[in-house]
Parts: sequence; structure tokens; C-alpha cells
Amino acid sequence: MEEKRERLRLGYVCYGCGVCTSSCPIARVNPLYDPREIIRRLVLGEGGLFSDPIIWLCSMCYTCQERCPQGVHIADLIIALRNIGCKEGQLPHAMKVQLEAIKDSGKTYPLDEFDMKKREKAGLPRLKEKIPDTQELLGGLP
Amino acid sequence: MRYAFFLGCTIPARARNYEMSAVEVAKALGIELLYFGDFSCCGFPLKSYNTEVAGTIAARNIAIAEENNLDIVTLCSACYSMLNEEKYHLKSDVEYLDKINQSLSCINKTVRAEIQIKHFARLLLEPQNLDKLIKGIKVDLKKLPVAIHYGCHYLKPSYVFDDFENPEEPLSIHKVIENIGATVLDYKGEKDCCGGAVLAFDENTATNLAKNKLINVKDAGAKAMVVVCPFCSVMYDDGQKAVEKKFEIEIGIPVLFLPQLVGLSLGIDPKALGMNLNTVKTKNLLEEVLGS
Repeated sequence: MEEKRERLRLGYVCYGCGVCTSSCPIARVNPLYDPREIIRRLVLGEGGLFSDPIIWLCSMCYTCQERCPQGVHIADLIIALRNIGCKEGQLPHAMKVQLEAIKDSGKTYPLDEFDMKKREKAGLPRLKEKIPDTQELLGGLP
Repeated sequence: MRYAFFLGCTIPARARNYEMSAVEVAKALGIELLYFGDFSCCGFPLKSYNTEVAGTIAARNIAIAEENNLDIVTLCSACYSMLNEEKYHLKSDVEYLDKINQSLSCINKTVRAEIQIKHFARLLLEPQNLDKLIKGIKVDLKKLPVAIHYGCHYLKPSYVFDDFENPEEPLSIHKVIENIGATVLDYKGEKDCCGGAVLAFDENTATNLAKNKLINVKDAGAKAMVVVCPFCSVMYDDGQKAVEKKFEIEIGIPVLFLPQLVGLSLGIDPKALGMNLNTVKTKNLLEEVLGS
């Protein structure tokens, strides 16, 4: 667990060069999104950053993280912020929908009889409609 | 070789053509892909919710393959990345491994994370498979110009993978395609993300990303785009009509899964490769390649 924590602590070595933002495919199409700014706000200790909807614009492509000359785990940090937001009850609607689907069926796209028929027609085997283990593992989550 | 065939969520529901073509190509190369109905979601979509919960779901899938002494083969790049990322953490951190095994104890599963998790595209490059593939070529693809979209999670985060390739200069899919007689085109923004992961959160941002890539692929003169992840196909194939309408542009580029193109070169019936299930029609492309 220490290694994981250490990786996230590395945000402090950011010197603001902006390779992340200039490499970011999201920033190119949506100027509101700026990973350098997110890391800066994080390092400066801005409380409540986890509830800013901007953190949900990251596509998790990891380009920023791969290119960061300081080895800051930018994408992992943004995921950590999302985790805190969810823990504080700030789940975006789409996240709730995915979570409920996985809780219920074990999949984000549950397979119904219509899908099974289409699979059979394509010569593919039927699959389980529900995975009881995931209900067991996720059942108690808010 | 036998493998546990890991499909994830998107493929069985929305990309049966990917599954069909991979099954056909595997058959032709003597690769056995075994179905396990107990595999669930890989865990990737839950990473943003809670990385440890996501990791537990991933670890459970790894444990199922381990119970059966099989390595995993995935088609979806997000599954590939998620399962490898989980394996990396389980292997590098005993404390974490113990914690996850505690969580799994309520469903009587134990994970060791000793197996390999391979992507189908990379499997094709293993020497015995590539050798069979080259010997099995029946159709000349006549240097068909294609644009590869590697996508993100086939390559990144690179710290969870072996040193298979440099994410800044990926070449593995180039190698497969050049070996079957098609031509790979360079194009602007080749390594850009498809936007699939933000589609549910901000559709406008996601479709803008997809639009830029589709325009660049078209400008490069590609007759087809090749992908290795079902969600990239959702953006470029399923979403192409919507992009054309929204931005008032014409694209009309078929988007093939890598095993579909490989299957064509092996002389497999296009229907068995699910070519009729692609959203952007493949008829003209097939006529050009197969000359019928």
C-alpha cells in the first residue's frame, strides 16, 4: 500500500511545465479542461476540488502521465480525486448508472434474452445474465 | 495454446463482430479460446468510483482463470489494461494482495496473480502464431491503405505492462497488418484518444475528439480504419453517422476490428467475420479486397 500512496504523493514535484496540458487530447477540444491547473490546485491544497465536475472530463488516456518529466501520476491522481468525490456522495449520474448495472448483473451492459438470441444467431454461445459473486462483493456499497 | 477468453461487457452486447472474427482467426491459427460464463466486468468502469473495489472485481476474474490454470486473452483494451494493472499491484505489494484476498474470501476465491494477461492483437505476434498466419494467407489485400487507431489502454499506463512496446511509438499492430499485405498510413493525431471514456460524462467533448480523428483518417486517404478495442469502435463506427450529421461532414470510412482484416486475408467468409454487423457498410471495401 505504501508504494501506491508514494506514487500519489509525487504530485508535489510538479514544476508546472505544462507538457500534460499540451499533450492532453481533451484540452485540445475543450479549453475548460487543463490537467496542469488541476495538479496545481491539488498541490496548493484546494479543498473541495473533488467536487468540481471538471475532474470527470479526463478520458484516462494516460498521455499526460506517460509524458510528465517529473513522473507525476496525473491520471492516477485524478482518479483518486474522483474516488474521494464518490465517497463524499458526489457521484455523477453516469457513474451511478454503471455502478448499479454492475451491482445487479456483473456487467455494465447486462445481456437480456434479445441479446442472447442475437448471439445465438451469430453462432456465439449464450452467457450468464447475472453473476451472483459481484452482487455479493458490491451489494453493500452506497 | 489454450486461453481463458475474457470478453468484458461491451463486446458480447455491442461488438459481436469483434468476438466472431477473433474466434474465427483463433480457430484458423490453432489457438483455443475457452469461454467462462463466470467472468464479470473487468472492473475498469469502477476505477473512478473506488479503485480498490475495481481491483477486487478485476482480481476475482484473474482468480477464475488461475483456478483453471489458464492465461487470459482479452479483446477489449480497457479489460487488458485493468487486469494487467491489478496484476501489477497484486504482484508488487504483498499487503495489498492480502487485503484483496480477504475481500475475496466471502466468495471463496483466492488470487495469486501469476498468470499472463494478453491482448489478442499481441497474441498474433507470438512467433508460432505469426508464422501460421503468414503461411495461411489466401487473399492478397493489394496494399490496402489503412489507418490504425491503437487507442489508449492497449499501451498505457505503460508501468503496468512488460516492455512490449513504447507507447509513444507503437508498432505491434503495424507489424500484423504489414505481414498480411495491407499498407499502414501515418496520419495526424494518430495516438489521440477516441473519447469513449468521457462519452457518458460529456458527449460534446467525446464526439469532438472522434470527429477530429475521423477527419484526419479520411484526409490521409485511408480505405479503412483498424481498431483493437470495442469502445473505440463505438466512437468511430457506431458513432460515425452521428458525427457526420452533427458536424455536417462526410466520412464514410469502414472501421474494422483487427481480426476482421486478418480474417479476410486468411480467406475466411466475411459473414463469419461479422462484416455485415459493422455500422459503416463494408460492401465496397469487400468488393475492392475480394474482387467480387
